[in-house]
Amino acid sequence: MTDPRQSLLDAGTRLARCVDFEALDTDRLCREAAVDPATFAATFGDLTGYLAALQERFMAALIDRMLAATAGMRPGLLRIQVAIEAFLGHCLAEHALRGWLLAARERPEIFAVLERQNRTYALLIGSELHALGWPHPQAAARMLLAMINEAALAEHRLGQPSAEIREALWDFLQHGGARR
Amino acid sequence: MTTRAADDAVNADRTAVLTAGVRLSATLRLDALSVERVCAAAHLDPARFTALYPSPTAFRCELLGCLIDEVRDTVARITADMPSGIGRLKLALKTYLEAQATRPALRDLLVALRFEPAGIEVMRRGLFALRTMIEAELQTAQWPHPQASARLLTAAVIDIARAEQEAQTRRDDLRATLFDYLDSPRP
Repeated sequence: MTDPRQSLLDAGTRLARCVDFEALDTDRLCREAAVDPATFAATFGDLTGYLAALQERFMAALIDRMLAATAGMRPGLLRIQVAIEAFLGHCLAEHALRGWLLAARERPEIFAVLERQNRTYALLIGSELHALGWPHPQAAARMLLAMINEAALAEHRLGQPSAEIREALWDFLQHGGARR
Repeated sequence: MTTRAADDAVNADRTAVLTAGVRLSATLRLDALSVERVCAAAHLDPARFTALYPSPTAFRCELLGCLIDEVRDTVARITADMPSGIGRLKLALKTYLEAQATRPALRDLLVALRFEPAGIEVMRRGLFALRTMIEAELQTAQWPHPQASARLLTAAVIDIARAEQEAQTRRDDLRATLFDYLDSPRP
């Protein structure tokens, strides 16, 4: 038997390709997933709860992609760069869904999910930068994360990778750990 | 009163309320900036407020715009006599962060209005001005990819300001990371 939670999340991924975020509602999702509205309500509560779950799944897939891209690599700047490329690549590959999730950020609950995920990423990047001897690794990780998110937003609007944006990111990676 | 005279009176009272709001925001937190308090500081009857603004949120959005403009003007004044380049950019960013750190109501407004469409629009205009300033200084400094770097640095600076809002204090580690990066030797 198909898991209704999975069916509804899969339906969202499909619908994102053809439905504007503003036109999204629970009835449409339920029809697409062939799940009754009562099950939707029991599973996610409301549309915001659903979007939070969609955001969590998007980020889980993102982490899988970054882990796969960096498997077997030694710690260092190159590993961070490869992970960032995987992050940006995944955001572009899931352009339609990412568009929904960007629009959903204007809901405080979704923003809170993103904040939690950002803190996790910052800890991971910070430990890498600490191992590299950066003077303020957690601060640099927070700054780098803000830049990565902005880079992803810029590329989302372009609909393709931006060599300039990525070079600017690599510049921070190359020089952001310099001591005065 | 003629329509023209009534419009002039509304404009004058709006200016008085905004000026009072800006003045009070230098020392008060947002929750202390009530309609009654702002109107009292502007020597207006609070009942007049509804003729000036459709809601307290509309007033807050306009106040936010005034405070952002004030920060921009402060940065421009302090850096006016310096040659363009990284030194001026660092002073501008330090002034920008200090202005936010020392304006409690500005910090509160940025948080309170971040999900309000009108507030988001005001913030967007402020961001655009900040990014334009950063890009101009990077171009003078012949920084690689000045447009893209300005975009990313703007995001970083906004995030530092947010971190300082959350911590309710300056984050010297974040500021040092930003300024050390801008000072990093270039070939």
